[in-house]
Amino acid sequence: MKLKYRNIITLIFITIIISILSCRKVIDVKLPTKDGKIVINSFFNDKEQLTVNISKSLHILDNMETKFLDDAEVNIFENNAFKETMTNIGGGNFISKTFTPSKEYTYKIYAKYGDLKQAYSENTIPNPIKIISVDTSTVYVTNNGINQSGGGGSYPQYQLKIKFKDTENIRNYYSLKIYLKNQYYYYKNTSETKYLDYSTIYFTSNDLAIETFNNGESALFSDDFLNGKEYSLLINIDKYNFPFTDNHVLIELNSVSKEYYLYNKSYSLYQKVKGDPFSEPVQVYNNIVNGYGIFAGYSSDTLGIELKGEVYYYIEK
Amino acid sequence: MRIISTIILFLTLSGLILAQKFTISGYVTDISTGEKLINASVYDANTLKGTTTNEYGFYSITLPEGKVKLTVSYVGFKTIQKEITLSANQTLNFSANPTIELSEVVISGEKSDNIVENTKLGVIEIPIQKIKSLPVLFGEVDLIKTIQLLPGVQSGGEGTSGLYVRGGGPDQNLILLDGVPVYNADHLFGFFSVFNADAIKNVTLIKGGFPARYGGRLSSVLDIRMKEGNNQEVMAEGSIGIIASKLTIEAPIIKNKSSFIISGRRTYIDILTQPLIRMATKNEGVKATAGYYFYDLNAKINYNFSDKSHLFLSSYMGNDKAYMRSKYEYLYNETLYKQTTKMNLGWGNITSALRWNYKINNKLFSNSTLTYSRYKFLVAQEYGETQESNNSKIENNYSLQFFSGINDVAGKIDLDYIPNTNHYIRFGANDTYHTFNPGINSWKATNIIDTTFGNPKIYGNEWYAYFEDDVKIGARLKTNAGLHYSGFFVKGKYYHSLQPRLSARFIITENWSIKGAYTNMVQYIHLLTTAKIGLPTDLWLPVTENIPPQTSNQLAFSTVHTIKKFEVSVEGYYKTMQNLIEYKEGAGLFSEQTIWQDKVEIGKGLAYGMEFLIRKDFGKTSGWIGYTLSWSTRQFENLNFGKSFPYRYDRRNDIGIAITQKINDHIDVGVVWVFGTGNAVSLATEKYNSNIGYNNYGGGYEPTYYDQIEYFESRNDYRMPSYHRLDLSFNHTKEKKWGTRTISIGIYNVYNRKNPFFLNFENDSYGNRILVQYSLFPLIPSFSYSFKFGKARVNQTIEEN
Repeated sequence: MKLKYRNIITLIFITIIISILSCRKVIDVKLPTKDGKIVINSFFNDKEQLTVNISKSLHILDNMETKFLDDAEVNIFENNAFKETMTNIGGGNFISKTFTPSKEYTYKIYAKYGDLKQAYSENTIPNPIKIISVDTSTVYVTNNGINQSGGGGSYPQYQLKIKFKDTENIRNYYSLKIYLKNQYYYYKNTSETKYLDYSTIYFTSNDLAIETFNNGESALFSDDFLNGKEYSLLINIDKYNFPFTDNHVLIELNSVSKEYYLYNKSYSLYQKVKGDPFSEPVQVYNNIVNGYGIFAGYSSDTLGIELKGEVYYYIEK
Repeated sequence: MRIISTIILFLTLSGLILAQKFTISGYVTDISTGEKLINASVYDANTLKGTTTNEYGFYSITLPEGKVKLTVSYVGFKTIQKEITLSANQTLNFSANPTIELSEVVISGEKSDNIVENTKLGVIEIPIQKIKSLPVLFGEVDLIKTIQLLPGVQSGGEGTSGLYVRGGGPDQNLILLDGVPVYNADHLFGFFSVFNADAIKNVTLIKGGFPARYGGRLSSVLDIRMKEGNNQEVMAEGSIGIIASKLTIEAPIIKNKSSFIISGRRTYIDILTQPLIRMATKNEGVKATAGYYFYDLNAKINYNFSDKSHLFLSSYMGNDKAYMRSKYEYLYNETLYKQTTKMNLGWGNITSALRWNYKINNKLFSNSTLTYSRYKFLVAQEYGETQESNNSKIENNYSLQFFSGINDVAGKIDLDYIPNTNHYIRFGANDTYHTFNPGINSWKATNIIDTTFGNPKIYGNEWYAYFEDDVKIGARLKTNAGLHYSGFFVKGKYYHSLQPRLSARFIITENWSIKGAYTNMVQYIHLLTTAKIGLPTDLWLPVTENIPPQTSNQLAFSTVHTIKKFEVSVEGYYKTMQNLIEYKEGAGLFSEQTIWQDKVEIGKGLAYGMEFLIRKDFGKTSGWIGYTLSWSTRQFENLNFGKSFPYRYDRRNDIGIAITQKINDHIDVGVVWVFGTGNAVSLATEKYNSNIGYNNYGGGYEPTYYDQIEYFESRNDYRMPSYHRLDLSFNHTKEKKWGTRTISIGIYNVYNRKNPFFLNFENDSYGNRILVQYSLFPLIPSFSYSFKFGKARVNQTIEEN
């Protein structure tokens, strides 16, 4: 399939380019200058300190990659009461020293830097949705013969049936991620050095409830399809993802705010069409007043399962 | 059928009852070619009553018994006057004598269909001679590009043939060639249109005040009528240009009874560049060739059984084809390996119409038509591999095809009933059976079962019936009122609508009238397009259970003056459009979703504006100046966060000037100047960090990598630089023993304006990010040699009545 589309596009491109390149002219176009705005980025939950990244937007023609605002003043309010001025830990990151956000509280953030307009946003952590159960089975996926190698073959996948109950009369938004516990630690290069316990694994799904996949690492959906119902979400994971004999897998169902959902949905589309001359560019959702970025809460419920691995090659311990 | 028979019987009897008046009917034709003249004026100077000929050259006028002084006039033809005593119904056919100068630029004679007097609002007729004499890109006469110079009509972009009429999209134009819809009117991504001007007799553009007989599209009707073929003598004309040549032959089969016309055009860049491509790709056993061409073929034949009965069969076929073939041979270990690759990209239309004109009686004229229209897009790739050794031969072949398109088979009947000079009634019905092919893939390989997959074909049945009447109420007021009732049946779902149409004209003084119109239009088919460029991959699709028909309501008002030889009109319009479709954000023809319905959003549009036109059709200097001030927006719930945004072709100011000047009997020049506000595009002005780095369980940020989000305020909120261009043409015509020849020299984009085609962010040689504008056509000279064999009877009179 992919080969076919590539050929079509290539052919069309060739023809267009033949017609365009024959007489193209290049002219510089001036753009209006922009002073820049404060960028606030944070997804926060009720299990960790509030972490926020503050940077400045740049003119589209600026050669600089990014500008962190480590000197910014970032104040947090909880249900309209001042909570604290956040502490900078470098790289534009600020953390709350005195509290961890709570569910259903509204958090307001104000960021100030120099002459830039004060940026503001607010959001709430929704209540978590519990994973009732996860059933696993093995399925075999067969190619229909339409691939580059000319067809044939099948490969094993775990099919996970993740059961949960959507809350009635409330608009819910979800994000689903699957993690594999690392048996060999990866080094995480941050200012606060630590080792990662888990890494995300790729999964696929034909479930009608799922609206967006972010690089195969997370699925995003609303309760449009399952409002108020107990629902079993079906996802598939290639067994090749499990290189060990015994694998500890963590299912994370996030109950996310509407803003979290809209940002991730639009950002996923944005990445998909970036650089595609046939598509309109996608606007990424933004909930920062006088600035850009996202400030959105979520809560998680996790459930661990053990899955046997398909060992295809020797793994050195 | 029974209802239609009853109506015909009633109309026939009612004609007999009005016995104190008599009817004169017949056809008006061009004496030199036998071609029927459309919209010729037939007028009685005694009673001051008049009518015009219909699309088939037929007229009918009912007048009181006694002396009648008939005057027949038509643009570019000498006026005919005939006095008769009317005492019975009569058939009178008129043959008008052309007064066109040798160079076909000076047009004399009376205006046939007076703009002040008619009820037509937003209707423009363009003489084909004018289209031929204006400067054009690469010397290729282009009907659509001439139409783009008119107010209210915009081009999509640099050099393209897309039509954007009063804020509407390219799918909202009903382009009819001899009454048959043409689905893709473009060659080479829209740089040329499919219509060969040598085969065309008449062009009418309707952009508002649509009469009830038209339907099925929201924004415009472009009614193109092919020539019927010279039934007097053999004529041949053609031209040789830089990129294409064309030839038209028309001749009588039986003089005055039957004739034919056949006209063809083909580009030949592929032939000329073939040796170069072969040379460039010749390398160690590789043979390769590639190219692109398009061709058109128009043909028509007609037979005149009697004054009452005419039969016509017309057809058009056009194709674009891009191809690449390569062959690679090598010998290894006494085995000969051969690899062949073929790739083809093609698209094209076929239209056919079988038409029967029948004069039922002096007041009732019928036109029955069977039509076929097909548009097909095809991409094909073949790969073959052969291994030949002394004892064996192994062959492996693969082929992959993707094709999409639409097929229509239709039947219709149109009736014109002219009971008296105060009414002109039209009614009829049409049924079209559509077959939509939204994209089928086919895969074949040696030793593997053939596979076909993709979107299944969709079948739809569309029908309509209409009734309209041109009513004169007193000396000053005239209206055209009608109803268009249509329905569409697809996959068990039936949509239908009753669309009222009303236009009216009120004469204030002899040279000044005001007009108003309201039209409701419904469109049952959609074009799924990328909007950025008109590609042949754009898909025509029907309404479905989830995607309702597009609808529009348009109000238009105008004031029309004739000041000496100038027509001056100012027209305002306000148009709302519902159920427009657009790709969802992130979706495209090649996106992952396979069901096309999942890729689209449904929204609405708004367009309003003012159009100014000064036009002169007569004399040595003729042409028009058009100016449009307009706004066009779109609103989709899931695009641009639900906020209204400018349509890509929202153009605040649009100017089109097209003038031809006759210098002497042999030389004329043409000037075109266009100006348009830059297209609206989505362009990022800032960039900022995305909120990534949260992919790992356990939280925390990873400041080692940040993706940049490019920010733009709103969809289509940036204006590309404005577009303007001056074109000049020079035509020298000379009479030869064998006929006439014309040498045309043209310059496209005289002052070499670098007009924007698209903008792109790039890095310069120092690594600095820059925004670059790409332009397409610089100053382009063109040359063509045209010839016309045979000698038409042409009067040399130059008149300015």
